[in-house]
Amino acid sequence: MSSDTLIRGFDDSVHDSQQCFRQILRAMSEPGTQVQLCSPATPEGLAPASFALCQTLLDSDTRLWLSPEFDRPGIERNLRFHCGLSLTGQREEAHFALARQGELQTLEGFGRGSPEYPETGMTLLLEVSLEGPRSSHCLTLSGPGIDGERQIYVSGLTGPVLDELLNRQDSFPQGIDLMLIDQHQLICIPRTTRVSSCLSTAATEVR
Amino acid sequence: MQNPTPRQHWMSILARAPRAQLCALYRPEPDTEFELIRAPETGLTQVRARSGGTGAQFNLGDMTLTRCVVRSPAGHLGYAFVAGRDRQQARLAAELDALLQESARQTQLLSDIIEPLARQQSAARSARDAEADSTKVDFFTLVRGED
Repeated sequence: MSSDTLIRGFDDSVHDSQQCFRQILRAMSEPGTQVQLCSPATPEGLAPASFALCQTLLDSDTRLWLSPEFDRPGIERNLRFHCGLSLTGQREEAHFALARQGELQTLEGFGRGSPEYPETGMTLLLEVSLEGPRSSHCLTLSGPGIDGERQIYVSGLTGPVLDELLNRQDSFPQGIDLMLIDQHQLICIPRTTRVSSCLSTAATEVR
Repeated sequence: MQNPTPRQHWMSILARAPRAQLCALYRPEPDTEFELIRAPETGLTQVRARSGGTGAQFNLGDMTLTRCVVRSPAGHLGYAFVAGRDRQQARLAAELDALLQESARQTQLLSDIIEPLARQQSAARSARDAEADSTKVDFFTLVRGED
């Protein structure tokens, strides 16, 4: 079977995408909470949670920007078939963008919404590694949906993405929402969340 | 559409075949495992038409449609779009479309399933046409003797 063959989507598209949507809603409303997303099969090179997320959130009315890493026939064909979405090569036009850690050298060009329509800001799906304290970045999250503070560990965020998170311009309600994906896991950092870097990695986190 | 390809022909026959007929003619072999690529799902589709067959396009209305995509063990993708909301019918039609793409079984399946269905469908169509024809009124005017 070649890598660009069609694979099966959700068994029951209505109920499976409703369940996924419930999980995504939870991850978005409680930033930093890890949730699980599943799909029966996954195109080669794409994380299962990414494929489940695309099947749940994307349709013919949403435009997706694929990073060079994901811009392959197998992924493109399956996304088009199962989501009916349209792909775009223009960052400005994208409602969603899919990229792998370390790939994005700049977030320039992605839409941040307008003051009148902040909801048109882009949502970035970023495949990263959400491992334990040994990974390189420990982020402290606070803000709406978080009781006090919550810490997450992410590795492989590039400078521009970290910079976007840590030094958010004071442009709220405009902004970019971030979805971090690692295999079946999903963590969301919406634009309302305040992010700061933990004092240092590993050492200070041992309790 | 002029000169449909063989696949377009059998797909259109399968799309028009009711489930009872499909079940009567086609029994899936027990060892044939089809992979469901797109589980049968029902939705709406907009039907467009041209006034008088050649005029401007307009939207005739919406109809219920069930679609399904399967993959046969040989790796062929079978597609089906059928009118109505019968999921089993869509699934059977998709399975047959996949099997018909295997050159080894094509001739057999065409003569066992597609041709009988095509005959039934054309018979039903001509019966309906005949019924409609019997109510046809031919208007004629008497020629007045002016010349």
